[in-house]
Amino acid sequence: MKKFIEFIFIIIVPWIIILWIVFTFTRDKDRNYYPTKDIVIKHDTVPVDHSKFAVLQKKFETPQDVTKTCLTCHNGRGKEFIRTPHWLWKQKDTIPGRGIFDLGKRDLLNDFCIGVNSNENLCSMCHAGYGYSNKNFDFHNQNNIDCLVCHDNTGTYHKSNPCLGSNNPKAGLPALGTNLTNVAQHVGETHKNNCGSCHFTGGGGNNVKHGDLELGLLQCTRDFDVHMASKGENAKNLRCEDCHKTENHNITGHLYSVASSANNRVTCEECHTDRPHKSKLLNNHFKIIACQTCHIPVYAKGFHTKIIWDWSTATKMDKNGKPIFDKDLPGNTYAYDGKTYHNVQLQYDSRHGTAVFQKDVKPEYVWFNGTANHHLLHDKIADTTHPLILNPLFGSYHDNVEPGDPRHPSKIWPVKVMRGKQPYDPVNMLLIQPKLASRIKGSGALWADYNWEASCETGMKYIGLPYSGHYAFLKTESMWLLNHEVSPSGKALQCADCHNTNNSRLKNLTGFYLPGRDHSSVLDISGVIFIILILLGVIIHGTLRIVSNKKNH
Amino acid sequence: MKRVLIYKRYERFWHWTQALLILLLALTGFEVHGVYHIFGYQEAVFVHRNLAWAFIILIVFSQFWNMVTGEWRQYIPSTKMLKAQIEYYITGIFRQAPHPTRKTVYNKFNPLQRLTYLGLRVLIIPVMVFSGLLYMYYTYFVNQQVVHDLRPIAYFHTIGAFLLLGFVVVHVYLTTTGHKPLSAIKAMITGWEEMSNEDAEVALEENLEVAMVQTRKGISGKGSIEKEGMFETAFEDVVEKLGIETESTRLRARLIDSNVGYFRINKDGIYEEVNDAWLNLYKCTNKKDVIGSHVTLDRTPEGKKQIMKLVNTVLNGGTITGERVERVCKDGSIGYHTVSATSYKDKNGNILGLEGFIIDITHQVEAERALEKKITSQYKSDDFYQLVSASNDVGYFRIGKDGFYQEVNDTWLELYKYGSKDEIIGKHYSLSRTKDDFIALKNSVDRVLKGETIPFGITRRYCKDGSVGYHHITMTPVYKGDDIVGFEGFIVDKTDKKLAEE
Repeated sequence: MKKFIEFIFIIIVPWIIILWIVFTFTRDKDRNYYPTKDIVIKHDTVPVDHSKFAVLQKKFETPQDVTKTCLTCHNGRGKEFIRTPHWLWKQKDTIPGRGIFDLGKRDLLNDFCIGVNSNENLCSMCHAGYGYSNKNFDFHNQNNIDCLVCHDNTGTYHKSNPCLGSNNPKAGLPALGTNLTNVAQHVGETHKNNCGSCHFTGGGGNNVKHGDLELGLLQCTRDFDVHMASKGENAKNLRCEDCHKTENHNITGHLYSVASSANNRVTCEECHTDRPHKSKLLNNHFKIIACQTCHIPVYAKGFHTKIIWDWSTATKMDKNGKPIFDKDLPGNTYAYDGKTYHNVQLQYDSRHGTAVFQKDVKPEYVWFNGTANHHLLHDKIADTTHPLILNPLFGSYHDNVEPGDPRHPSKIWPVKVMRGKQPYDPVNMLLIQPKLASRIKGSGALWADYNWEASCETGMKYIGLPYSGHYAFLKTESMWLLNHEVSPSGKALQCADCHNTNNSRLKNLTGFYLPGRDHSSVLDISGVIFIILILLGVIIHGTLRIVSNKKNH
Repeated sequence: MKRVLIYKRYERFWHWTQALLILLLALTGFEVHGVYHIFGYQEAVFVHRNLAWAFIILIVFSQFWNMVTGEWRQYIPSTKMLKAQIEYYITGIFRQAPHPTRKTVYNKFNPLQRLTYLGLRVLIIPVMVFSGLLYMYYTYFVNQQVVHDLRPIAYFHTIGAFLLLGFVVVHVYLTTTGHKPLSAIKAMITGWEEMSNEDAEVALEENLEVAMVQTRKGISGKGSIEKEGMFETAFEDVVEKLGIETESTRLRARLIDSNVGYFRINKDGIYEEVNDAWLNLYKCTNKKDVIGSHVTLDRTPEGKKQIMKLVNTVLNGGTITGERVERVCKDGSIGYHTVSATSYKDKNGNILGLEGFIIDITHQVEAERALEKKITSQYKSDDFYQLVSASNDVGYFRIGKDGFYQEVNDTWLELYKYGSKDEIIGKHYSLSRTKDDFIALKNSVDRVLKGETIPFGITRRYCKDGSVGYHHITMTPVYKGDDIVGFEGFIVDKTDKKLAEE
């Protein structure tokens, strides 16, 4: 009895105490934890009623009249605005290791509609101005600023889409039938739908381009986007400028498909600080993982986004010799560059080629240190065997371990990789700026003539770069860092999503050791063999003992 | 088959706690490694971290314990018998050859174990702890130009994990090589290891030997007498062999303090060293009078013969435990003690002499002898009364046939906490009993009154102040002529023992 009590106290009680402590104790509390509920968002309000202003009590014939009137009171704002990228479509930016360049939509090619040049009439339907129809546009004429597209609070102001019919105005003018007087009398702060009118539909339709910016954000729940949610429980209904803080028309935020340095960025920690988790372990992850990585587990939650655009199939006609428009193709898989994409929608259009769309896409992950390179117009293509990355993101694990610049430590970021095949000049080794948009046959526009040669020649001539007369198609990729459609904390990635042997989200990121994902197979196999040998030895030894024991008795 | 105390309480606590921690660390660790899914990755990580800290705390405690108790010496590697031990596991074990080494409380590990455990302690565990801490706090080091890559840290940690796992397998298997397959595990749980009689004997002797060495060091000033933990454990074994029950630490401590005499005699039979307790027992005051004299000096003729026989036994390599010996004290009085002795050797194993303990049992022997005498003289001698009633160690009482106290001695009064004899003489013996105790005692008394002598029954007493005590009681009839007129006896206090038991 005494021994039993001793056994209980010496062995069982310590076991129970230790098990209890080990399974319940959490040492992992961050003392500097900054809870989300402490964040306060302040909105400015416009204290005036524009509908009462005398200067606005007239019928405006042209949108430029409206701008002129705006500038009579808001003098200086025009000067301010014509310096911004929303107007210039370019800005001076530094590419680390290369120098300072004018970067922007105007001078960079992408793998959606490739480039603005020679297509301004169409592209400028998203330009915050009027009449940007060719490269001779006067970027100093303040009267061409489109104030209304951003400040319309009626919801009735839209830019004209020239694709909808030949009578629709081009080059960023308002749609036919817009009541300019009414809009001008109801201007105010910028709302989601103002920004969204361009940013949600870039690339030719809802969510085509970014993947994390779509019309669904205007009316969504927290599951869709915790910040912009306007429906359902605990909807914060943030506006774009709550994060993209704006002063003097300089809107913060940086899109690395047109920018390269780490300036003017909007970051999560501006509101959330770098200790937003109760768990210290999670906060420490912030040193090498961007918030977005865990908190944007999927993007394109509402609408399909374009993930592959193969221009090489464009210009094919149907059996009657007529062009095919927006034809859905059968099947839901697509093989591209050695990989098969599942659950996709395929579309063919003689103007565009083949497009692949996907919904609820899992991001890809890259090391990113806040800076990017760009394939500039005159950059030669060095390697045609691998996809050309149009905006390579700088960063690597070692950039984090040994940061050359401590302000730019690399982190793992989620990214939408847009893939495609686009025309290039295999002789001059330059990417080609084709002329695409025009209704006039013989203008060289691909969408009028369905002739790549004419399109390439016209486009290259327009930008003043040589064209050899030969074109081919090059696989390209562009990187779209994901920042929106942040999921609620409960839907964020869990440890095992990355710390996982078979199916880690980070399986393509190598060069560093990730617990739970990585192991040395040599070491593991040696270890298992070691244990097996020991077990065998023990079994043989034990058996021999039993046998010899029986013999001796 | 006998059982010998091998593992102390702390060691058992430590071993099983460590076992639990290592197994859970392995279970969660290999989950973090991505081998399987049991707890879930997150839970596995946090539990693994907590376990790691628990383990580190346990290591700190245990190393402290090893240091202060001197147990660290058990990990000093030794090549002595190493080959024999390896040969035993390779061949001897299949021939049912005896273990080449024996497990004692002072030498728990065979040379192979010493080497393995030392390796664990200085290599595997530190590597695991160090790499584990780096792993845990990697993010704090990573930008400090100290550590650039988690990979080597993780690999070292994994290698250590495999080695530990291998150790556990072999370790568990080797527990079955004891006296019986489960002996070693039982020993780790209870502290007492089952051994063959022969092994137990040797283990006991070795324990005794080490106790001697410790005592010698203490007395000669070369070591510290603070090694009492070791001393007492050895002593516990020894006195158990002697038949003295020593469950109570206090009782044992009292024995050690009071009347455990230490002596060392060279091979010529000359005293080399004795302690103060020894001197007290022999009623000597000056150590110098004793040292240098021959062991047979103060003996009765039979005593001389007996002591030389014992001395020769030990000098020939034997061990004596609990032998009763008569002594003649300095003042001429005769005392009795038990002697346990073993030989001590030089580095080459030559016997230099013997050393041992003596434990005084004079009062016990005297009381027994008087009782014997009384019985042999057909219960008519007064010697018993005279001897026992004068004793300071045992309480004497005489009770009439009717159950009323007739006589008690001072020791009895002391045990019952009475001030004077007047308070008790003339009272009935049921006075200080509960009803149940009285009925039990009355049964015994009835038997004594019919002429029996009942030795060493244990009984409970209620003292005058209400406290409870326990004693051994021996009762024998009192005759007048041929008629039994009452009974008398002696009580020996066992309160400490009884309380310890409870």
